[in-house]
Amino acid sequence: MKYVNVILLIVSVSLPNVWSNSVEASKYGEIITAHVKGMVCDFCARGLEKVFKSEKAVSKISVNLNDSVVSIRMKPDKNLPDKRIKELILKNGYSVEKITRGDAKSETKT
Amino acid sequence: MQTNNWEKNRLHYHYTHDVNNSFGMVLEYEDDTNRQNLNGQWNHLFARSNTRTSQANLYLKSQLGIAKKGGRYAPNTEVGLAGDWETRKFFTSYAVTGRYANGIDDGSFHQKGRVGIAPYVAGYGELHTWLMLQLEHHPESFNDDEKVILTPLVRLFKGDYLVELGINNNGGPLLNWTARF
Repeated sequence: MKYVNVILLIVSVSLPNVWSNSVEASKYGEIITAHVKGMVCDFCARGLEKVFKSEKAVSKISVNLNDSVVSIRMKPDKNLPDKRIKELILKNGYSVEKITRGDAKSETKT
Repeated sequence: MQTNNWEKNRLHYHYTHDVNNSFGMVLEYEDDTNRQNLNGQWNHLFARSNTRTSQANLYLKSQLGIAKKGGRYAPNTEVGLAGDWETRKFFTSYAVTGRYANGIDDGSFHQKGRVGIAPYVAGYGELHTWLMLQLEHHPESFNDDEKVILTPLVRLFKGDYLVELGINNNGGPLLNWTARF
């Protein structure tokens, strides 16, 4: 019975957090991070920013040359499949190392 | 894109069709020879290497159009190979170009190389500065002092705009700019 109480306590403490996180994601949209190879030139990476901005599901994009990373914030309840993200990056002449969603738990290596 | 240097003034409009192919129109005026060229251009990227810290490219560049010199017109052809390798700190490039315009130019070639270093590494959207040294070789040039040209230059870019400013070893200015749409 003691163990059951402990488990119930943990569940009751963590559930609001889980619920709160999903509400946040729903409100602001998911953040997708693409690790890109070959992205060494700011002038050339402009094209990447433009193609992602033209995607209807994308709310915001930010490029980080230091970490070779493109962060894509989706519109609430919208999604962009990994396949499409990879396609857009390849079309701009770069290679995709990996794509992560939300946190590092869901990760697609390419 | 506009290029102005000791040799020519060049206006260039380019459309990138896909990652491997771009097409453009080039209008050139060469001061020394009073020659004008109006060419269509096709650039083909046939090899690219991407790593986390660098990118290397090999291009085939070809032009076809009309050359005009002293009231005479002739079909103009240019073919070239170009390659570059860059990191966020270092840059190198090399290009060799041959051209032919029957009766105006009986075949000539020139080659050009560049090395560059970024004095600081700027972030995305910030002002980027490159210090570069450009070496050109024009073996068929009539003037001995134009066979080999050395041009120190500064490349600046921010956002969609790029400017290059330099002065060559003969005192000739270089002014290039590129805008992306």
